[in-house]
Amino acid sequence: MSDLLAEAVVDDQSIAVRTEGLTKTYGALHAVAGLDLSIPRGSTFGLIGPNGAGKSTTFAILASLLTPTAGRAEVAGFDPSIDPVEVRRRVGYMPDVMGVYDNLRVQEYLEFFAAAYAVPRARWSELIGNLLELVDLTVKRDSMVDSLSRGMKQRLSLARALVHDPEVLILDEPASGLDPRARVELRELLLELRKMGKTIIVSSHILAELEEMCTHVAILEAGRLLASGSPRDIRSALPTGRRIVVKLAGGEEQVHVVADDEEQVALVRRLLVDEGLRVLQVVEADSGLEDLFMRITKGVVQ
Amino acid sequence: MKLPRTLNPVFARELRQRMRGPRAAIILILYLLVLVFIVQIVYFAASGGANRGAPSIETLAGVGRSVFHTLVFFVLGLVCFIVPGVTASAVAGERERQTLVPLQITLLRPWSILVGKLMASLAFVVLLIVATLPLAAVSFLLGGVEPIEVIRATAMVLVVAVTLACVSLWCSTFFKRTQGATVVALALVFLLCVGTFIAFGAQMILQRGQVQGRSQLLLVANPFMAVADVLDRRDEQLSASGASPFTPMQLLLEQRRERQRDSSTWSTDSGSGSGPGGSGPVVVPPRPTATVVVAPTTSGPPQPDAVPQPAVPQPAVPETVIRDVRPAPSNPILADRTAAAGFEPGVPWLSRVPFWVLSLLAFTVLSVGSLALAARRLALPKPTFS
Repeated sequence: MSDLLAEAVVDDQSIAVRTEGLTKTYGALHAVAGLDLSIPRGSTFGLIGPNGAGKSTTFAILASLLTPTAGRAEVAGFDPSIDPVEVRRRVGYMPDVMGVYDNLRVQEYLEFFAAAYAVPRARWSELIGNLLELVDLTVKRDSMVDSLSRGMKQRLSLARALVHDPEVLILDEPASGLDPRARVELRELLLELRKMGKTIIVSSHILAELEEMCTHVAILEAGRLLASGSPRDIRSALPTGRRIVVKLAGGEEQVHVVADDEEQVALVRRLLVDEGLRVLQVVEADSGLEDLFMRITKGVVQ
Repeated sequence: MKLPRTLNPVFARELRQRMRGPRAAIILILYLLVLVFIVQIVYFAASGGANRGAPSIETLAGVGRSVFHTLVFFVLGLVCFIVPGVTASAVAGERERQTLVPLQITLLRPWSILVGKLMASLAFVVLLIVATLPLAAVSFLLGGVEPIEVIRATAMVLVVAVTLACVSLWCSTFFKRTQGATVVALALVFLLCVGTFIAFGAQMILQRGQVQGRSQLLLVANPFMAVADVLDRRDEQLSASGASPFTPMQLLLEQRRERQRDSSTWSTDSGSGSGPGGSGPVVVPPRPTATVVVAPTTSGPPQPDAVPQPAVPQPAVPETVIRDVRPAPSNPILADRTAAAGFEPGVPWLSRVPFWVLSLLAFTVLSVGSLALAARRLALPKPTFS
């Protein structure tokens, strides 16, 4: 994975997306509060934060769906609230919720968006062939859109966002609700897209989900930027310590242990066996939103 | 299936979605079955005992008209139900399916999205209306209906369909859910079709049966009145064999036309006393007591005839004009001009315009207004709340 990261062309000189003091308020609620971001061209930028941190609002502003209350944004050289059409030409946006039409075939679905993005009709056939190949849905070309699995719908949605060959891709929680296999496929797809030179902005509430594929990561909470940098920097700023759950046979009892690394986990296991306890399972606690994110935000704030 | 190059993308996609599968065909079949059933009933009811020897040509023509009018009536009624049904989901449905945002951020303008939606839902309704025309052929077989009448009626029903579709489309952009949009769209259609009659009736009671001027505006947006005005009325409609569901509306329209004749001739001298404030409805005096009525209504200036009519030298002239004009219906325009120059008896020019023209105007205003509001709702970025 790190080889791929090194391969990727990250041109720090040119900035694809920039926000300055971006603010969006709904009454008393500050969805986004003075966000400053600068996202280099060709990078894969991960925005991490809990629900309600302002990720989707930020994305909606960048995609020209919302106007900010204050501050400004610039996407591919245009301000989305001033030149929405120019921004839409250059941005592919995939919302966090994906809806598909019924009674429509995959090919017709993509043809519709090709037409909506004013792609010349002569290019449709080739374009759709390429897109379907890219997202690995070639065999589903004539299937009904609503019969696809969730992972396939997600990939189709990505193909849809790519119909007009945008410079910048904005993907809101693309991995949510996908099974592990579909996540791996998605990750590989994003690496592929980065190699094509696209700037990708992707959000998630799970750091681990993004750190393998992002060149840059920013952590957002309550509309504010908490930290940003390479995934390695972010990770190293976190306190170590994994939570281990030990399940013993013959009892409901569970033991939580905090271990720093693999060796300590092994040590815990050995000690337990030496004590003559019948160990059923030793697993790392789920690093889901609550656990991991609490640790991230706490670590950063301290 | 290949679709033409310049087709509105939304329209093309919706056509594919709507016409795929058996749903559209089933609705079409059910719709035609209902109409066939109705035509059958009307035919038997109107022709009465068919065994009583050969019916006269007049009776046959009456039956033909009856069948045609009933058909138009039911098509119009079904249009009023079906159009909100197929249109109210247009935008709200996309919102529900979460497909609206990807559509909004394409390069399509709100107007072209709306026009595509409109064409898509109207395509089906037009199909229904066109599919009805063969049934209207039954009337041709019997006689009593002219082709031009069929064309006028079809055109007006289509105009009504477009208008209702625009209004429903606005509902669809206004409400988040299809259900809400459909209910409100149906309620608005009901308001147009029935509510206007109720309001008109209420006004008539309030004004002791004398409704004129602005009050007629209540009915111009009524689809049934509009269609009634483009259908011919014959006297045999009042008999059993020629009964038409549009007869009450046509009688009302006839009354308007009569009053219009009255008001255009009478306005020359009854104008000065055009009720309190001059903006109220014109009280049209009954014909025989014309000169008697003029005096009590002139409650305003002391010399009503002299002040507002500088063009008319003597107060006696209008009376003679009236007597001369009455039998010749070509003169009202002349008389009306004097009225317009002098006073405002309600809205004189309004009475001169044919009812269906007013209806077309009302429908145009409704359609364009709804579409403009809908486009504003659909436009991005949304205005900021602060």
